[in-house]
Amino acid sequence: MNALRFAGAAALFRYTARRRRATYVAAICFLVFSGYYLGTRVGLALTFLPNPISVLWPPNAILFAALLVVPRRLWWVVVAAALPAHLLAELEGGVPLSMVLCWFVSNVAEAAIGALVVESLVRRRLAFDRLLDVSAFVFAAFAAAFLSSFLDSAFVAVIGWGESGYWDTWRTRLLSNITASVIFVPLIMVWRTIGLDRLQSMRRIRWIEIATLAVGLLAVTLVVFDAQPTMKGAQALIYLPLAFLLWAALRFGPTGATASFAVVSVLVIWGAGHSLGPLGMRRPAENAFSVQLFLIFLGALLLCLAAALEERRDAERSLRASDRRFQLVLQATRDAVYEQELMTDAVSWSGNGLAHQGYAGGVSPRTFASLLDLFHPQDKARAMRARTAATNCGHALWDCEFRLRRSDGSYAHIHEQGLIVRDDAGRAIQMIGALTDITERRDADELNQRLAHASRLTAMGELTASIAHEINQPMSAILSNVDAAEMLLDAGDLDRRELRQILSDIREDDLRASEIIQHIRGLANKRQVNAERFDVNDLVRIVLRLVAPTVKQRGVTLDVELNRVPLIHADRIHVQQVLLNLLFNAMDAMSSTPEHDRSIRIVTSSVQPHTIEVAVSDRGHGIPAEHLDRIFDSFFTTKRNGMGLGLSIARSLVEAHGGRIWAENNADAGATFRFTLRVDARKARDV
Amino acid sequence: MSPELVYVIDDDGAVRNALSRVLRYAGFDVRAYASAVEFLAAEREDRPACIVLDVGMPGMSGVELQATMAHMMSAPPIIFLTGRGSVDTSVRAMKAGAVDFLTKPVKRETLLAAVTSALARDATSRARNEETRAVRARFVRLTPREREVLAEVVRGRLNKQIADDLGTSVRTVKAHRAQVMAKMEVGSLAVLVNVATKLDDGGSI
Repeated sequence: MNALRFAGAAALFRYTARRRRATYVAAICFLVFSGYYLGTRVGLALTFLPNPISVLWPPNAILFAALLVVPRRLWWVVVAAALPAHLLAELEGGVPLSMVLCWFVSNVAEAAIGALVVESLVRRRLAFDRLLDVSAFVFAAFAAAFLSSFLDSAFVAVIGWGESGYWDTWRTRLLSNITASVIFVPLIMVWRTIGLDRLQSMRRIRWIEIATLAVGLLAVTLVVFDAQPTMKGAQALIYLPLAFLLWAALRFGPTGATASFAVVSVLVIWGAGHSLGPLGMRRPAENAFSVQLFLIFLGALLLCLAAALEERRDAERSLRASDRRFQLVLQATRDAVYEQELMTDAVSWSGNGLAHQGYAGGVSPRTFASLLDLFHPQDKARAMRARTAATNCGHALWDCEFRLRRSDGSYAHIHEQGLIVRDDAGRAIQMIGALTDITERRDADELNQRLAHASRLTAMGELTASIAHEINQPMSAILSNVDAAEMLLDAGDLDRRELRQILSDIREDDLRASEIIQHIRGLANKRQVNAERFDVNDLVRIVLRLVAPTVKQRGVTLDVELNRVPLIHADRIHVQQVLLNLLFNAMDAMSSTPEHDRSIRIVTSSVQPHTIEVAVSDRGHGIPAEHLDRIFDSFFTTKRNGMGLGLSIARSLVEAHGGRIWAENNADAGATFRFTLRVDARKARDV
Repeated sequence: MSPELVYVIDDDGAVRNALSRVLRYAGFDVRAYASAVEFLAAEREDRPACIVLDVGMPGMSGVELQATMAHMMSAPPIIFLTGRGSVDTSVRAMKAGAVDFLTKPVKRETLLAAVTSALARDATSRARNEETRAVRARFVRLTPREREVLAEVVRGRLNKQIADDLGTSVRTVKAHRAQVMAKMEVGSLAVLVNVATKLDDGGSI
């Protein structure tokens, strides 16, 4: 059933993928065909009369752009779509078929050369937002037109079309094709990625700016290039549209630059073709030449400018983002980072400075001397030694630990890591230091240390109190009984039987007290705590080997599920003790369970990001609800011969490691004891 | 008169027996219970008593029993016994009205002194309760009008003013006033005011 459904889904996926590809290919065909055809119309419309000299020949540029957009395996589609458009456009003009086909070959050759050169130089999508993109493109456009024009002129010469000589044809084609490439390829490549959503999300003020820019650009260009010059020296006015082009490049990057340049180009060519404006004052051939040169250089310059600005904007954006990330990291780590200029001794802080040490706002020290004043007197010399040693030995880094006075007079433990910035001559000019407040970590370490020094008995911490209580009970009974005996004697009327009863009670209480003391002595063999990193699963395996004989003897089956868990930082022996206690507890709980049903399930798992859990489930008698919260109390026991210490020791040990231990009854039978331990802090930070 | 009563509540049998012995030999009537619940279930006698209570017991703890008893009328005062002199428990118990907080093992003199003083306190509070009960019983006999007059009199108002306030004549007020004195069984105005304050916590005036 599932397999069927899967096969169906796969078929559907293949079908939709195929359909999507078909749609894509159809779109390419349509766009290339119509673009190419329209391009030829535009090219023909912009020829300079009376001799038809094409100043601008867009079809090649459109083919060039199409090859850049479409993956190489679909280039044939582009070529195939362009051919009918080419034939349609050229045959309308009465050109012989052989000439038309030869031109198509040289056009395709140009587009292919251009696309291949661009792709080999620019390893990503050409977006005209980097100087490298622009220079690679200009080079490719030039190379493509340069090379293919030899071919084109040769075709013309062989077929004998037209009257111009080989080099005239070559030059005319070279310039008109480069002009077209510079105008149309960037326009297509940049604008093809502009989504509707980006236009919709623009603010109104931006639209107003675009409208102003467009109106200004059109007005100035029309006045300068498409009107009869009214005064002498009006040639200088050709720079007037430049203001608007720069505006477009500055404020709207490649998008604005390419669009406004295309508009200006068309208007300039049209004006020159109609003998208008400063570039339309000579013979058509000369006009065409100057228009082309003017547009090629203007276009290349504008593209370079827009790309450079975009690169700069990009760099600023990423700088801002990286600065924000840096600030965020500072906030998160609560580190204080400062830069110290060695020349002036001035110190400047990043983020909140020493805010976490109580120097909020601008009160963090402004010179290194005043920062050093905050060092603990005993640590000053050592901290300075670390810095000077690193500086003098040509090291780039140093690190040291010292105590730093907080604003309230107390001391924070600081770990400083520093970087020495040197000039070209290797002289240290700046120190950058990151101060990490490790007070809490040190306190935690100290706590662990204290734990390590404590005997096993002390690790049981709170146990001592209840042990005292437990001894106190018989002591208290003894005292009252002695008091009672005295009162009995004082009363004169001596009841021997009563007195004997009192004495026997006293003996019993005395024995009870000494029994408790014996037990405690057994527990109190001193042992150092030794925390290390280890995998709790390894430990479970060891413990299971230890208890294997007992497990077998008691007829218990084990069900072990060890999941991958992070390393923990704890005392092996203690965790082993906890697990042993829980296992023995589980086995004891099943002493009256039928042998075939005696099983213990042990599961290790990672429950929270920084916590692992070990669960021990038995199938014993479970825990009466009223006992659930007391079973970990010392001396609480339901066993006939139990001391009631196993679980309380387990709890003390687990809690000493910052973990938690608890019990719950299983839904079917028995109880599950779970304890958690914290994942090794260093490891956790890496994750 | 029957001897005074001491309830001993401790889960530890040995301690319970020994304490009971001491108290019995000292001449008190002793009732011993192994848990708070057992004590609450037992019938209590209506005579001066006190409770010697172990703090740390399984089930309902001593402090919980104290909290439960706080809602009862005429609960006997509690002397706490504890194995560990934990400060916060003792402070909490004293704030909740424990008369004493003794640490085990407890010496005879200390125990007996605490019990004696607790019993004395219970006797006083029982007497006070008794008096209040009596006054309230008398107050119930007053008519609504007489209660109004009593309230005004206690506030120190003159007959004339009371008559104006209630819209009656001075003579009527005087008659009501005589009735109030008679029903409340007091001879003078001073005693009446004193008695009336006992009714305050009842909120009847």
